[in-house]
Amino acid sequence: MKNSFGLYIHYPFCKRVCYYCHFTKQNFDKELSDKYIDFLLKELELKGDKNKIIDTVYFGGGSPGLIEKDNITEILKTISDYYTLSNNTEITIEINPEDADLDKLRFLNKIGFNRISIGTQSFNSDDLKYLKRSHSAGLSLSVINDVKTAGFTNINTDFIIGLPTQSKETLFHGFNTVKDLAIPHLSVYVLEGVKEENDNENKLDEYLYFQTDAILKNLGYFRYEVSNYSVSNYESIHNSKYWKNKEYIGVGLSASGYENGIDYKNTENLYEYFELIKEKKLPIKEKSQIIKMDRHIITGLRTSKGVKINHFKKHQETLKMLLKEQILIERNGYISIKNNKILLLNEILTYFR
Amino acid sequence: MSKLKNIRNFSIIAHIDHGKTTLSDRLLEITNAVTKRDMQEQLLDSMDLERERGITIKSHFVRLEYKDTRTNEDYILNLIDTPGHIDFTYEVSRSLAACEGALLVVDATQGVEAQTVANTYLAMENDLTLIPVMNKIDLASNELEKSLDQVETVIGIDREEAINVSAKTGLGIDELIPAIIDRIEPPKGDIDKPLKALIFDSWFDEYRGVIILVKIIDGKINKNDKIKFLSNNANYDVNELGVFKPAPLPLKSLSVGEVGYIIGSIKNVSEVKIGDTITHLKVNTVEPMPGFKEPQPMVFSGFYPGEGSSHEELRDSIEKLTLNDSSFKYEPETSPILGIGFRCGFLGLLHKEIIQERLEREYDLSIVTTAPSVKYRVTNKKGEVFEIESPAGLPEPQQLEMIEEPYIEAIIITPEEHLGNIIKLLQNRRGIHKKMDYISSERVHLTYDLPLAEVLYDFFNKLKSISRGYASFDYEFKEYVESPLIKLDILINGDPVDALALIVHREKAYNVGNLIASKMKAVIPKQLFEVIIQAAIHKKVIARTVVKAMRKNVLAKCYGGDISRKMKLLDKQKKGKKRMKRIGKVDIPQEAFLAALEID
Ligand SMILES: Nc1nc2c(ncn2[C@@H]2O[C@H](COP(=O)(O)OP(=O)(O)O)[C@@H](O)[C@H]2O)c(=O)[nH]1
Ligand code: SF4
Repeated sequence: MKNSFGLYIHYPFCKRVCYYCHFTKQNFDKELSDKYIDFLLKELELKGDKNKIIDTVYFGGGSPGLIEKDNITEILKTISDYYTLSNNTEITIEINPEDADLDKLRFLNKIGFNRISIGTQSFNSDDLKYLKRSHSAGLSLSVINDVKTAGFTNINTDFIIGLPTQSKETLFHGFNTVKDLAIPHLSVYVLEGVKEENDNENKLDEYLYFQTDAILKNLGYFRYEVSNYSVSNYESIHNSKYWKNKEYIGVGLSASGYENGIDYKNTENLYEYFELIKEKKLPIKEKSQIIKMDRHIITGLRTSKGVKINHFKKHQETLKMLLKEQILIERNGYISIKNNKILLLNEILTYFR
Repeated sequence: MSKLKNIRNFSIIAHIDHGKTTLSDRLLEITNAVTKRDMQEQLLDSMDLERERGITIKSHFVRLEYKDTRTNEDYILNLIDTPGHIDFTYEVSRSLAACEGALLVVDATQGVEAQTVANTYLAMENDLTLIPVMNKIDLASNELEKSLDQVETVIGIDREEAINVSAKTGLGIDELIPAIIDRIEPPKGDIDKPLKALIFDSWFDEYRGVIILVKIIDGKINKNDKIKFLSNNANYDVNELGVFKPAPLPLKSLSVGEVGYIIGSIKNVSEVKIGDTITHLKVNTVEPMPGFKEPQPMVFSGFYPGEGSSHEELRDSIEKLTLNDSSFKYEPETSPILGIGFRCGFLGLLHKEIIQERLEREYDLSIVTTAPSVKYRVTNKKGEVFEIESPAGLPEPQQLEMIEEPYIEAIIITPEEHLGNIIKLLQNRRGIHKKMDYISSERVHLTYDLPLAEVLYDFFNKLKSISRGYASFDYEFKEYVESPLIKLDILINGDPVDALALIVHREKAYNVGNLIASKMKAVIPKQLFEVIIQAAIHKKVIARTVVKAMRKNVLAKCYGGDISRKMKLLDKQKKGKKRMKRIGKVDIPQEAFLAALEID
C-alpha cells in the first residue's frame, strides 16, 4: 500500500496583522495576493506527483479565508490534477470571523471543504480588546451559526489564554459557550513572546492553563495534544500527522513538509519565493534529517497518548530519572508527560537532545 | 657563515602594554624584514587568542639583517620574543637564556611597573646587558623625567643610558640599533669545538610537527646531521634547519652564536626538554648546559566534559594541547559527582583561562572547570606528609595535624593615592607587609607576602579596580606556611558536591559560605527541579539558598508542522546548557563552579 500524505497550503496575507502572531504573514495587498496565488499554483505543478495520495488538506496562514472563490476553486483543482486525492479527504480551512459570510461558507462547503477552523480567540470583549482583534464576540457567534448553516459539523475554534484580562470565570464562560454550540474541537494557545517572562506572568499562565484543562475536561473535551482538545473522533487528522511522524507536503511561503525522513521548509521571503519558482525551482530553503527516534520523542511527547517506550533506547538513564521524579509517566508501553508538568514541555525535551 | 662579532642576540622585555609589540614591529620595519603594508598585523603575535588578549604566549624569534652605515659592517640581530604576562615568567627566563642583552621598554607615560621590576630581576639573573628604552615620548602626557628617576632608583641604571623613543611614530628608533650593536656583547663560543646547542623553546606545528629553537653555543650544525639530546641520549635526524625572517628560511647550517629552528624526526613535544643540550650523535665530550627548572604548576583545577562532550573528546584534546604547551600538566581525576575528568596544573590563572578557551574554541568542547586551587601540604596525625591539589583530598579533621599553604612574594607598584585601599585589600587577603619604598615622590613600591590562594580569588581585578587601573602586580613563589584552614562543603539538594568544596581560612568560612550560597542562587537557572544550595563546615550547615523549580517553558503552537524550527529552538536551549554539568537531576552552570572566585 502506498503512503498517504497530508498537504499544507500556506496563504501569507491578513487584513490586518496581529502584534502577537509569529506566523509568516503580511498585510493584504490584492495585487501581491493575486501574484502569490499564481506562484502557489506553479509550485503545486512543479512539486505535484500523481503517485502521491493525499488524505488531508489544510489551508493555513495568514488568513486563507481571504482567498477569492475562483482562486480557491483553482487551487483545489490543481491539487486534484497533480496529486491523487483519497475518497474521504479531510479538507480544512482557517477563517477569521471578520472574513466570513454565509455565501462564502456555503461555497467552501460545496467545493469540498469539510472542516473549518475559526479564529475566535475569545468570547470576552476585554480579551479581544487586549488582543486588538477587529471582530467582536457577537460576530464570532453569528459566524459559528453561519458555519453550521453552511453545512459544517467538523468545526474548530481557536482560543488564546494567558491574558491579564482572563479569569477562571471568563474562561468558563467562553468554553461553556463552545460546548453549548456543540463545537467538537478547540485549540487553546498560551500567548507567547509578548509579555515579560517573569514569575508572576508564568504563574498566571500556569493557572489559566490548568483551569482551561479542568474546565474543558468537565465539559467533555479530551486533550490529545498540548494545545488541542476534542470530543471523541473529532481530532484533527491533518494536525495529528505532525506529531505522529506521518508524512506531509508543504506548499506556499514558509510551508514545512516531511517526506522520506527529511524535514524541509520553504523560504519565508516572498520575493525569493517568486524568484525560485520563476526559475522552476522548488522554493525550499532548508532541509534537515532528524534522527527518527528523536523526532518521535520531540513530537510524540506533545500528545496525551505519548511515545512508544522503545524510542527511548538512547535515553534510558534520563527516562528512568524523569519517570522516578514523576515528570513523565508510563502507560501501556507509552511514555507521556504527566498532566501537571505539560507546561515544562520544552524544558523536558531538552533532556532528550 | 657569519662572524661572531657581527651577531647580537637580544630580547625586548616590558610591562604589558608598554609597547613591546609596537617596538618589535618598528625594528622589523627598519631592517626591512617586512614592509609597512604587512605591518597591519602585529607579526610576532601569531595565535588568534594571543591577538585577542594582546599577549604573546609562545616565544618566537626573528632574524634581522642590518648594515651599520658607520662601519659598513653587516650584522645579524636576533630578536627573541618573550611573553608579557606574569604567568609566563618561566618562559621569559628561558628565552632570556639565549640572549646577551635586552631592551627594557618602559612606557614613559606610566613609569616603572611591577613587571618591569620582575623582568629586570630575570634579566640580571641571566647576566644580560640592559638597555632602557623609554617609550611613547610622542605623547604629551609623558613623564619622562620621573620615569628616568624610577629607572635609576628601582632598576639602578644611569639615566644617561636610556634611549627615548616613540615606537609608534618611529621617533628615536634610529639610535636603537647602533646602541644594540655597541652595547650588547656578541655571543661567545668556538666554531672549532664540537657542536653544543641550547634548546630554549619548542612547539608543535600542525603542518611541520615539532619545531625546536636553539642557540648554537659552540660548533656548527648542518642539515641532515645526526644529533642527540644530552638529557636522554635520544637521537634524531635534522630534516630542516633555518631562521625566521620572520617567514621561515631554510638554511644549510647554523653556526656558533646563531639562533635558529630545527625540525627533526621528533614525534612529540614531550620528548623535548627546554634547557637541554644538543650535540652530534658521535660526540661524547660535550658537557650539558646547566638546565632549566621544570616549570612548576601553581594553580590546579578540575576539567570535566560539560553537557554534550565526552570524556574521550576531552582527553584527546588535552593531549593535543600539551603538544605545544609543555608547562600545562594534567592527570586523570574522578569525581563522584562530575564523573571522569582531569586535574590540570597551570602556571597561573590566565594560563588556565587560555587553556580552557583553546579547548572550547579550537576543539569545540563543552567543559566545566572547578574553582582553582593551590597545592596544599598536609600532615596527618600519623605524621605523614603529602600534597593535595584539590579540597576533595583533604583528610577528615580528626586525622589532620596541620595544613601548609604556598605563600608568594608580591610586588605592587602604585600611585600613592591608592595606597590606603591597596593595603586594605592586602590585609583582607591575609597579606604580610614586608617592605615599602617610594620610587618617586608619588609612586610606591610595596612588597608583601601573600597566600597564593588569596590571589586566585579575583585579586587582580580588585587591585585594578581600586587603583583605577594604575597599580601593577607581579609575584614569585616564596614558601609554604602553616595556616588554620578548613574545608567548606557545598551541598546540592542535600548531597555534598566534591567539585564545589573549598579550602578556606577558618575566620573567613562563614562569610564565604554565605556569599557562595547566594552567588550560586543567582547563577543557577530555574529548571525542572528545585535546587537547594547549602554551605557546610564539618557537616554543619551554615548557609542555605533555594532556586525554585521552573513553572513554564513551552512553545504551545506547533507551527504548521515545522519540526525543524522546533529542533532548532531546542538545540538553542540546549546550547545554553553547554557549560553546565548535570549533578543528579539538576544542571549546574560553569559560573556556579566558579562562584567562589567572585565573592569578597
Ligand atoms: N602614542 C604611542 N602609543 C604607543 C607607542 N608604543 C605603543 N603604543 C600603543 O600602546 C599600546 C600597547 O602597545 P603594544 O606594543 O601592544 O604593547 P605590548 O603589550 O608591550 O606588546 C598599543 O595601543 C600601541 O599602539 C608609542 O610610542 N606612542
Ligand atoms: S489574523 Fe491570524 S495569522 Fe493573521 S496576523 Fe492575526 S493571528 Fe496571525
